[in-house]
Amino acid sequence: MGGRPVSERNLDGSSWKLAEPHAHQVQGMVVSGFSHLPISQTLLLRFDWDKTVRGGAWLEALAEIAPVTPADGKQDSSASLGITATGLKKMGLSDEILAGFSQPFREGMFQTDRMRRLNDRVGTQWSECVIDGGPLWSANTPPDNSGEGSGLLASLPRRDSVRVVTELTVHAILIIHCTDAPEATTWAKETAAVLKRCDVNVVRAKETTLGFDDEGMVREHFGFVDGLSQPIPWDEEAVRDAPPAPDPIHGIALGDVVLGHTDGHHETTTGPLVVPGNNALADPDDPSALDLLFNGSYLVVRELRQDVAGFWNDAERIARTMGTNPATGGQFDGNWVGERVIGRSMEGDVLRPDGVLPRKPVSPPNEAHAASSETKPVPDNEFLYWDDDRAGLGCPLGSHIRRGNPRDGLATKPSQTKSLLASSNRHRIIRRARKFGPYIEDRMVDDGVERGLIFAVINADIERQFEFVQQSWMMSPSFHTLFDETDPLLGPKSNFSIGAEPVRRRVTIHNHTKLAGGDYFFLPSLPALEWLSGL
Amino acid sequence: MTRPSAPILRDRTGKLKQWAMDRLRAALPGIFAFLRRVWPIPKIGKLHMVTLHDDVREVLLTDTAFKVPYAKKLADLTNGYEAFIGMQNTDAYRSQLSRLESLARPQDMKRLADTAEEKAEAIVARSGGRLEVVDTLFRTVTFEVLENYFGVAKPEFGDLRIWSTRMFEYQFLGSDKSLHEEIDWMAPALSAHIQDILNQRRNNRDTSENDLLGRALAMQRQEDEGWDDAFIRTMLSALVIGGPPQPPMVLPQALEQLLRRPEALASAHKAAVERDEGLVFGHIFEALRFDPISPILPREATCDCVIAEGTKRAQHVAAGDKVLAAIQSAMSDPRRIPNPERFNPTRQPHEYLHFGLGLHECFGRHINRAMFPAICAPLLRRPNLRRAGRSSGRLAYEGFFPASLTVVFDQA
Amino acid sequence: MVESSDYDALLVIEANFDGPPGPFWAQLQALLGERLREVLRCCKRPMDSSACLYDLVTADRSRRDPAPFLECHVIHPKAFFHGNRGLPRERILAEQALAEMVEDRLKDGSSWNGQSSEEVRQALRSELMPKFDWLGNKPATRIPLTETLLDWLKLAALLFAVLHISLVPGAVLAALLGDAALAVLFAVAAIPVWMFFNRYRRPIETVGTSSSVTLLSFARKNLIKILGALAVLFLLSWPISASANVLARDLAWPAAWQASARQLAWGIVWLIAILIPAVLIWMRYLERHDSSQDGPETDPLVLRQMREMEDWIPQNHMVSVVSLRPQIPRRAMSYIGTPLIHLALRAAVHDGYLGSMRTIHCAQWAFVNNGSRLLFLSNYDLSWESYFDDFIEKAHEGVTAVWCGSVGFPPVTMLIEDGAAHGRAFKNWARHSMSPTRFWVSAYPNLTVDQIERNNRIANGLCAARLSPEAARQWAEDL
Repeated sequence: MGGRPVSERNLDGSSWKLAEPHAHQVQGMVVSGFSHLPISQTLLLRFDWDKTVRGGAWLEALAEIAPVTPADGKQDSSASLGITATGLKKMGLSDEILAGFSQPFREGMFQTDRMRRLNDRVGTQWSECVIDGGPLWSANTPPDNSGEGSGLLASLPRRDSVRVVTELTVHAILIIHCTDAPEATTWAKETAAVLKRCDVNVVRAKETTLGFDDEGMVREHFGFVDGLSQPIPWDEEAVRDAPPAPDPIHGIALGDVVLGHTDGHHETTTGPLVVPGNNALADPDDPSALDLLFNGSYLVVRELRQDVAGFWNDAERIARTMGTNPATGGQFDGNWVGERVIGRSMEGDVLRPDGVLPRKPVSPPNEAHAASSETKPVPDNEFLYWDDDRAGLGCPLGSHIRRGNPRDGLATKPSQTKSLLASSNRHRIIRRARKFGPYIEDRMVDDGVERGLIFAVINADIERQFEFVQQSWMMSPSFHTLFDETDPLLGPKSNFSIGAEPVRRRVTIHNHTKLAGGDYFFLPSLPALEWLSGL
Repeated sequence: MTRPSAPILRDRTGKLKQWAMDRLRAALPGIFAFLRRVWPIPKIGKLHMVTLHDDVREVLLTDTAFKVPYAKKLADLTNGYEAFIGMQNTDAYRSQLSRLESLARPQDMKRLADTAEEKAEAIVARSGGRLEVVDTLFRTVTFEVLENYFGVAKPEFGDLRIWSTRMFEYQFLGSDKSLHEEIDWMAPALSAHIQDILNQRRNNRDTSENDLLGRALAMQRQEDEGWDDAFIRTMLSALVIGGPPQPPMVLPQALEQLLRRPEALASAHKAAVERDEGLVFGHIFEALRFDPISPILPREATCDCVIAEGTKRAQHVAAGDKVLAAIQSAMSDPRRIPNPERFNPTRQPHEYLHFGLGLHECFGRHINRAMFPAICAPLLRRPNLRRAGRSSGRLAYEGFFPASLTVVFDQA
Repeated sequence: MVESSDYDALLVIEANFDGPPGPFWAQLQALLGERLREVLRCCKRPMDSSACLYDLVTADRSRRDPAPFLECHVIHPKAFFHGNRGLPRERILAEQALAEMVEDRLKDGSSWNGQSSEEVRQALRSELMPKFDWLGNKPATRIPLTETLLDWLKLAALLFAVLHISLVPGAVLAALLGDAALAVLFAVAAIPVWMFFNRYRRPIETVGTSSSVTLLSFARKNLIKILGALAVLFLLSWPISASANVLARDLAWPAAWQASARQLAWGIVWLIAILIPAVLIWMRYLERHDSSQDGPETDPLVLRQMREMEDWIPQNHMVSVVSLRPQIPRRAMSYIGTPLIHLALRAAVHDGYLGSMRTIHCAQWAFVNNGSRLLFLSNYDLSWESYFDDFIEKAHEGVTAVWCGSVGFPPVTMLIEDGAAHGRAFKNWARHSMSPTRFWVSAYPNLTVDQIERNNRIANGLCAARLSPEAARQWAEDL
């Protein structure tokens, strides 16, 4: 195992740090992927207390056993906490305060129009990308029907309106990160017991891991190196030792991941102001007032199940239909197909027309990391598409990484590359995915074991970031100039074009990754948590 | 199948007059274009003519103010009975029309088309590569098919083709003295002929319902109200007079227009070969836009009213004034018809006014829709269809009626 | 249907079509005639001369065609942007059919291994030629040169008219005063103007978005073009001003030429040194004193209804109506600027890009309610959010220029700065101004602007009898 931090910058998102006082307030999960804490327990909580109980009591109990950790330095273990809109309501947060949260958070992931946009459900049909029978868990946010049936527009026929109720209702998510499994299990058990006493039940628990391979790289279940590309938030003041300018390729505004700072659209989100002990909006002039959103963030969680054997059998099937590979003269194999689906090699190097992008030699180890010895070169993530792979002959135009972050690849003229890179970066998200379930023994043989990914995204503007990526890039059948294609990894069964000379190859790929549950969570700052525990 | 070969059209128009009429016909598109631009609603005395698409639609659609002027003459032909062709939108009109419509069935259309095509194919095949189309093909097939469909068999004495053509001429076109004399005996003869058939069927206990007459008799047997002999007679007379004379008039004109446009003819040929019945019809209908059966439809104002009210060209019309709706002009009005000068066989239905519009839209439109392509397709399918040499290859008229047009084609 | 509490509801029928308008109305009426009449019956009787037609069309059991009445109320957009300009619908559909057939023939692509792109193209061309006989013809030019030249000419003429009129006061003063007096007068006027200008040109504290393009940097970047334009302005104004001298001052022609050159030079100095900065100061004054800049509330129900109808197909539609702010320079800017933007877009944009965004099928701006409101209609690809992100990220200067004179728009600096760069404020303002589009029909609902262009490139490539290997390779990239 070994929690060796990979030397190259930003592989676990730790190449940037917050300055004080923010580092003390923001949850650690925002700035770090905790690569030194590879084992974690993800607990989904439901509040079952009755009206007589104080809504903040459970937070006080939680602070005893699993205090939420701030972003001010490495810890031996860590806990992160997100609460859904229904959770906040159950805790007794007043409506006027809740109204200050962002709309997607308040509406939840399974609001009718949102499901259509995210391609989870259109009309009455769950998409193929959702497990049979629909997702197992969500916040179960009731639809907002206020004003329906009255007003000027009430006569308009409703086009689409359903209420989705999942079997499990989730009010909060608690993720605890540890160095090894026994510790995590014990801690999770103890925490569950403490929470139980406050009538907070763990309705779903998953042991989740990063899972390093021998090279110190994180591999997800299909076998690909994962988590290579993360944005680097920048802010002149709130980021510690901020360079003079944002990173040219991965730089984004801090406000896109932490609320209350200047974001990519030149704005600062201000939240509802509160004072301790008063569950109502505070006087804006009160100097002791706390901005409930400040230094918080939103966490998008989607539990994805992966059918590893299905994926690789599909890849092998496709490879067999493709004939001989003109480059090698041999047959195509499953790996070749799988790598095109992702856009990177199994080892994580981005595909280029002439192979993969070579790794940069490791710069002489600096003092700090000298101890961690034999550092090998890691995949180079400082690449763009326009100059080297405009037509997608290496990394296909519709591959997972190009859809997830097109960088400057959507430009069609050299003069646009800069502005399109900048505009792509306005939609970047911080990914904190961890996997559950054991690795498969033989990737071609289905062992019937449930495995997958707790896909977690940290962003400040859910609509502009997570939802945009999902709707306009991942699931859009007209992404770029493609047609009738969606993301080959996440999307439903569809075509997938692989750039080649003289003409593209086109294969049909099935869905092997399915949504099993998810919702939007608020990731409160530590001061906000303290205020919430006073509810 | 031979018939006494008395001339069907009257040879009464003098050479000079015929020449003038033909020239006028040729000049009409230009005259209409000029009028549309300069004098969209010309008025001479108590006669108005509307030339713009909008105004033509308005006149045809406003049946309350502009009635059809056919009633008086029609009464001469139907022994004084009223028939729908000349009526206003009254309860009687609606009941008559619905009774008549109940006789025709949608599935008849396929049968009509199939028989028409079969007969036309036989005629074309027999012709040996040279064919006079107006009489030999179009009139023969139309009458044979429709006589059969209406249930009005050929009379023992006389020729139904002549009767109906003559009465059509009287009803819609002219009323000279010799025509009057002929009508005076033809109308009762037709009426009597139909009555004979009715009696005969009843006597023979013939209950077949393959034709309209048979179906009408069936209604009569069920003792439904309004199915007395006089009604059946009047309706069938109206059909015989108004229906079969028309295809032999319009189809030659359509063919003439196609022959003038090699590209259109070629695409009509292609459509016929590919048995695209809809597209063949599209070609015929579009060809007729350049030379419709009648350039104008007459109407009579029933009250004082204003045409094109609310526009600069608004014109007052007094009760009793004649109003001519120039459908030919309306169908080439660039204000509403896209690229009217272009031959386009896939135009939208609303761009055509061949069947009129509104209350008096042609009763036979479904029949014609089925029969036009069926009659023409066998000829259009022939390779290298072209005019015969010299003057026989041009469409010649007798008065308003196309008289002859000879074409030649390769024997495939 | 545009509803707002400030005005009566507005029925908007937006029509983007090929060909002349008359046949379009005939088709619309053939399709929806009676329903259109029902809709018109819900409308207010107009008070102008079309009232008579209105009565006729909406009378009980009327059979009068509604088209002539509708034609009386046509408003042509002051600015219109067309993404796939020069491609009529028929051609778009034909090229789509061709592209689909090509896709079909290419299958999974493996059978073409070892061939050159040109060989693939030739094979496809000869195979598809019988089905698509137009492949033998040279593709029609999308935008004829004469049209472009005419657009440039119109743009130049309008620009010239505006600038020429603005320099008249300076030229008149020059005719009345001597050089020395004029120099003193202009200096006395220009110095405070520029001082004020310098003081107020920067955004106030909470407004600045550190956007990279400012009006001044834009002017600096295009300095050569501006100088060139001024030279052209001078040359074109010269004969006008000389004739004016001949007429007004009874000068002989040679003297008139000389005198007018001097007057024009002073006129241009007046324009640059005084008029433009003074107008900008005025604008800055207005921009700093706007009280209607706080994000307006959007009715949650209306918002829900808009969202409910979005994102069913790759295209979406939006309609927005905003009230214009009343001040003279702003109105003037709107009324003159919008047609200028229209002509500039027509003249300069031929590849469908607005900024670096290419997702707009048709976008139009028109003034309604006697010019007091700005109506914006757009057919765009992908989601509303992504459309507005594009506006914010790629075209916020232009967007700000168009809407800076409307009520509620986020605070603007110097006409084009900030404004739409305030992402969420701009989106909130836009949503507030919108109404649900209750009914719309797309002529090609499954195609995006980019795909239409791609199909066009595929078709054009196939039309060519021969292509160079490089051109053929590029063509094959689109398959």
